[in-house]
Amino acid sequence: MIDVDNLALQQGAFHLKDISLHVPRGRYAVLMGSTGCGKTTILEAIAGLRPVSAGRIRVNDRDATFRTPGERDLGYVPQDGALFRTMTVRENLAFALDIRGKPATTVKNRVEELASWLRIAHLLDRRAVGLSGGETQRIALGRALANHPPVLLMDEPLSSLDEETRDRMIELLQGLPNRADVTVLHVSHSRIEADRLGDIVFRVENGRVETIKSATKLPPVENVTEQRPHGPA
Amino acid sequence: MILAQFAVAAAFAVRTMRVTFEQISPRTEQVAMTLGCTRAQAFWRVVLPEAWRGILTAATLSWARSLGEFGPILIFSGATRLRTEVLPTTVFLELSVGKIEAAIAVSLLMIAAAVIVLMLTRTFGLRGTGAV
Repeated sequence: MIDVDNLALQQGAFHLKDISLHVPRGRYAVLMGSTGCGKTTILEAIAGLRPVSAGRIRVNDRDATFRTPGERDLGYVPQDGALFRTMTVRENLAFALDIRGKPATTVKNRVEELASWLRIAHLLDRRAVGLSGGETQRIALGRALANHPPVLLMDEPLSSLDEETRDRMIELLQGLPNRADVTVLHVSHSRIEADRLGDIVFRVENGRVETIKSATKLPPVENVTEQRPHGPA
Repeated sequence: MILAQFAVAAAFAVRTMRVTFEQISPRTEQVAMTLGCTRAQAFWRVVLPEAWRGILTAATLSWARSLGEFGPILIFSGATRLRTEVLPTTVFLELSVGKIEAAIAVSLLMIAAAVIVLMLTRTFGLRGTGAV
């Protein structure tokens, strides 16, 4: 669950205020808006990468407003993937588990499970450089989901992909909330992505967030196929 | 003498390392923090390994600059045989007493040391990038 209440953000001359949005557990929300309207700024504030001037952020029923990014228990996929280039793909996927000192067998099993699901098993021992856009995004997605975060934030993950790769990624992302038991907030400027992926669609316009597609008529979330074995970190 | 060498070499090292760190995207550090790292852990585990080659380059440049340092050492430490003598001042001392062969030998020694260090730096600096 993501709950943003009357958030205010200031970055130089640019500011946003009275930002409120609510994404219920297990839903896929898309945050739309034109370039420069503040979509990424809102996402980064939820991730804890940007200080907030006022308001409250709740992630997974816990007040996260002043928590560090690592304490918020969420996954974050930036626009360019931002893979760790000095590490192999395996080390990228294992990073969140290694940093928490998980047992080696748990890490190995989780990495192989993610690699199989994301179809990147053949890349595991390769250094994370020179990969295609689709491979980069799938690895970044796997790395973000490795520790079973209840919330996933994605910043225009499909914007640099060709049409065919984007279609395959959309198919992958459509099953994400059920498969990974995760609540998703996906920033995009693409109407197609919003239509195909969003249970809920928000639009940022003139410094305000309005809901243009709501989840109230959707059936309740159920049939979660992959349970979170470790719980929140 | 060490202080004089450090003051000159540090300027090269700082400039080179500054460029190196500026070229590293802050995004990777931010992602590491969302994955559970503290800022210090993100620096040690993600940023520093990415900066490794730049740091190596900075160290090599600083070392090469220190190796050839002459003026500041002569002014602040003098050129006393077996006390404040470094390779460049040795060349100067040998030349000043007319021992051309000794001056050439020391100069060749400096060139050889520089070539070996540059080759080692290139080999280790490119290791893991697929270029070596």
